[in-house]
Amino acid sequence: MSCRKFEEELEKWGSLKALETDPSFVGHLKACPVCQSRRSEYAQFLTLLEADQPPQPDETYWASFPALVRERIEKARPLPRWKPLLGWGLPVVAMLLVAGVALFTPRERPDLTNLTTEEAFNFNGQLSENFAEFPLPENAVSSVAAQAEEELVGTLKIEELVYTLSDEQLKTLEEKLTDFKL
Amino acid sequence: MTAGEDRELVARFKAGDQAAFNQLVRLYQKKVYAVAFRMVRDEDEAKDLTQEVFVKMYKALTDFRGKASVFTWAYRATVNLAINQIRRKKIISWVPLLEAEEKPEEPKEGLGDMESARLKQAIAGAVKKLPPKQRAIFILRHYDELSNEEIAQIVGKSVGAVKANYFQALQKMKKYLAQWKSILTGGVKEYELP
Repeated sequence: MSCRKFEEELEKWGSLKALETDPSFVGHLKACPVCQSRRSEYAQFLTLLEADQPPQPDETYWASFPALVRERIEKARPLPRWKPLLGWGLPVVAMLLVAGVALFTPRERPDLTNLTTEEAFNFNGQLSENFAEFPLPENAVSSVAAQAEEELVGTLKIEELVYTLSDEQLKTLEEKLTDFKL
Repeated sequence: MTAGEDRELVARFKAGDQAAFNQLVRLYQKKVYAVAFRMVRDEDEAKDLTQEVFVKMYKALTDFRGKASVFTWAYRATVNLAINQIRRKKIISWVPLLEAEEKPEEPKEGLGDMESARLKQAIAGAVKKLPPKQRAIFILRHYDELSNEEIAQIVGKSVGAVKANYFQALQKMKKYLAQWKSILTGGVKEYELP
């Protein structure tokens, strides 16, 4: 047994303990103060780590644990196909319908070819007044959009948004933030 | 629990025996929790993560082909979920306005010995300084006494990389906990020389 071999074995505590039945190993250890002190230092470190035991939930928690898992599995079950319509789907479909109606409704287009500078300057105002005469599509779109925004974003905090990211997105974001320098 | 018994439970579950799944949960719940806690260092988060591992296991078991053992699968899921959790916390802590409060590691009730509580805090702090994968390797090797080969399967690295990472983690931990050495030599038990 050499000091080098001893050092190699030291980090593998389990096999080191086994080696301690080997007379050549024990002989070396007794004769070599450097290895003795290394061993002692490492043993202290292991003792130190032994203090780190996780707080154990009580046995009643563990007894009910499979039931808690079951409950969570039930919650995580995918909804029937038509169900999402009641949440997300409905506002989205409504928005698409309204946007479609707005897009295909024929509008009277003003003749823009011979405008004076003053007329051109005032044109925006006229345009918004004209649109005000047809409040349905725009208002409907914005109300649906506002509702969707409130439902989807308004209720989410950034902490929660972080939980919606995929594993890959999390990894990328973390890398970008780590590289980010002010 | 042997791999054969695991396989039998999986087969029973696949055949529709829901009690077999509960049995698997009971078998691994404490081990999974211990790894989860050592990774995230928070009791509530560790409990939550442990539940999540078994929810994932329930879904995965239907397609489970038995290439890896259930035990390896559970460890892998725990480590991956914990690493993601650590990432989330790190990202949240980057946004100062969120006031992402990292719970202070107060000594828990009933711990009694202040010194031991401080030591636990010091170890927790030291473990937290390790990069997530290195942390996982250190925990699995040191506390769960898994072989390098098993850890390599769990964390998706080569055996050589596992060895190197464990060595680095060990050196770092020794450095972080160096100040505790003097306290130890004064009080805590010492391994006897053969």
